[in-house]
Amino acid sequence: MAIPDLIKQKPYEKIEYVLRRHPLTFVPNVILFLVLMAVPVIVFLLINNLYPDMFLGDIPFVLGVLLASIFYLSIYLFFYAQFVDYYLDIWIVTNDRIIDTEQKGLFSRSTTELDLYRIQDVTANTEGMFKTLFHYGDVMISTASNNTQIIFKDVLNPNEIRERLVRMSDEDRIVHQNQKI
Amino acid sequence: MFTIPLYIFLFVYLLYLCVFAVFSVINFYHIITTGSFSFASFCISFFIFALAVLTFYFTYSNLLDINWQTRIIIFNGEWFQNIF
Repeated sequence: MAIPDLIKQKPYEKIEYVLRRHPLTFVPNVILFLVLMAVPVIVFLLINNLYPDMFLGDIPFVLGVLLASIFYLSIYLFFYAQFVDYYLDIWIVTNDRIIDTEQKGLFSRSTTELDLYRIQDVTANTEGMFKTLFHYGDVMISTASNNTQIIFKDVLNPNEIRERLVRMSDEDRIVHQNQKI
Repeated sequence: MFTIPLYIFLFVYLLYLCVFAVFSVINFYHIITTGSFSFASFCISFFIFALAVLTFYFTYSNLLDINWQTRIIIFNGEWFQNIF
């Protein structure tokens, strides 16, 4: 399934942005993955040094191999789930609306939609050393009623997106006013 | 004395493999159905499945010559005969 099918793109609609979190936000997961990958090797070396005869028998050897295998497969699964959680948070901006789809774990997903002409405030927020250095941060979009708020989390060039959103919102508002008249 | 054969652990492992397969497919299904199948997601999926295949291979090659009929003692009454 492609993005236009996912959002059921209208004939007059044009996709302006498909935004995801900055790849740097996924780096802690990669580091954790590498550390966890090293754990069985370190444990094996420790046990082998302290109790050299431990893995000589069939039973400890089989149990050790099966446990290590289960541990590694669990790490892969955990890493894959983390990636899906990271990669499936998507914010799609068209010339008509904003669609916010967020993956929360494996079995929870929420989708919020907001018409551009309803946008009241757009705030770009960049906090912290990494975010400032690598130009990523949050963009908060709220409507007049404040009932709906969409946050683009850790997206690249938040200020540029904010400016573009404000301009698109103004354009869309003019289009809707003309339609009413 | 209560003993179980070693192959019981192999069945437990196979059961875990089924869980692993189901969750991997669910993850991949999410990527496909949300329009997120790109070069990046393909690379990560390929990386995960390649690692999984390597792990299966090493597990299989290490356990190839094991006698699965070996019995493990789970409980033996003699362990407690001389404790007092």
